[in-house]
Amino acid sequence: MALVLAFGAVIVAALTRLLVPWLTKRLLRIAIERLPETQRERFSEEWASHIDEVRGEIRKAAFALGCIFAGLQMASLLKSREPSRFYRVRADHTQRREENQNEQRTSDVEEPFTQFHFHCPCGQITLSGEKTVTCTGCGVSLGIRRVREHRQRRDSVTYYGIRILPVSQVERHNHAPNAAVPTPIGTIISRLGSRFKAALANRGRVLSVEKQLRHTNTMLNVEAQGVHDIPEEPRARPVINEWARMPLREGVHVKVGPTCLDGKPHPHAGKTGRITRFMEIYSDPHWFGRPAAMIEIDAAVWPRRFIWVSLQCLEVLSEDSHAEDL
Amino acid sequence: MATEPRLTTQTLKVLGTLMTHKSDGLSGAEIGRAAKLQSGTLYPILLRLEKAGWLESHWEAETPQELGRPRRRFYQLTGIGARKAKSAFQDVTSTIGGLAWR
Repeated sequence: MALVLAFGAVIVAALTRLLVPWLTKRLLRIAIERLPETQRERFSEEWASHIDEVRGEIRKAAFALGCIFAGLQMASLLKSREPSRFYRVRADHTQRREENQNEQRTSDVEEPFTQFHFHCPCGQITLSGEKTVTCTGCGVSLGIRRVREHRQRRDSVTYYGIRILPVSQVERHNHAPNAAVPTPIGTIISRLGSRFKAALANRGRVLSVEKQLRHTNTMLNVEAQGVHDIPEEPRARPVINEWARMPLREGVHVKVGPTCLDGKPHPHAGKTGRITRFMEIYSDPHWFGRPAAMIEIDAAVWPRRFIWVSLQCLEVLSEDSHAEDL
Repeated sequence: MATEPRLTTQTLKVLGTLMTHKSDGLSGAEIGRAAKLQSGTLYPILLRLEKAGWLESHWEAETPQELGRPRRRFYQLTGIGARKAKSAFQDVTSTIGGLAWR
């Protein structure tokens, strides 16, 4: 019996001598992995020096075990001080108008402009239209990537922040917050109809009611005759091709006459240009029920200018005189 | 501004050890032996005091190659830490006696 106990003790001692140092190293590695990355190198060396002063393999293992609890506490202590790898990005969609109108013909078109607010872990907020910036506070590179998720709507955009490691979702906009929401055409027509009816009701026996509704780039003109004076048959609209008195066709060089049809001075008097298109829309203020033409003005400016002139106000110019004018 | 550390019995032991030994600093192992604290208690206290500005620490001047072992990190009280520790000990002494933290 004593021999068996002695043999067992020898086996246990041998295993202890072999296993405990391995266990100590393993526990110390686990403890260090609990710490934030910035503190691992420091405490790895500090605890290694401390464990070097401890006598006995069992005590060293106990010290390493205690380091695991220390690592957990220190990690929670340092968590609030450690800069988070996650950061917040806010996207503001605003309208930007091109400053230089001479560069592009589409200069009057407002283009969507997105401005990103980068909230760095250091506390600095950097505004930029670019998707990658350098933080002015701590100098780290911040960036975002745009991800469209499965079955996500077209106007729904998800932005993710990226710095060094993958980060969590930061913000989502279903609609551009500052962009003007276009009014549906059905709403516009409904408003127009209600105003039209109200105008007729208030005017009583009116001969003409004109109502304009302005909405962004849309202008609708409504003209009505008196309620008791509506003719039985609709007014015959003149056909442009039947206007045989003037040999006008697209591409002909013309000059705008001095007066309008009512005798008033024409706002475009004297301007020359080329007819680009005939119009049949009843909304030209100088038209007075007659066909009009869209004329491209001869001017060395960009973008090109177009005017809308009644055909009776136009004078045909020969090609020679047009060349002289130019 | 750093938050003030909690002055527990173990914290007072660490502070008392550092106040007693007026030297260039004590390593974690020396503080642990003097205060009779295990690693799981000692190092969070040291880190908390260091973050509060009561302690400062520095490595040994020699390199590990010259020493033939890992470098030690020495802890010592700062001026603010010394004043606050002294004030804390006066409060404890007046309340529960001078031997309470020893």
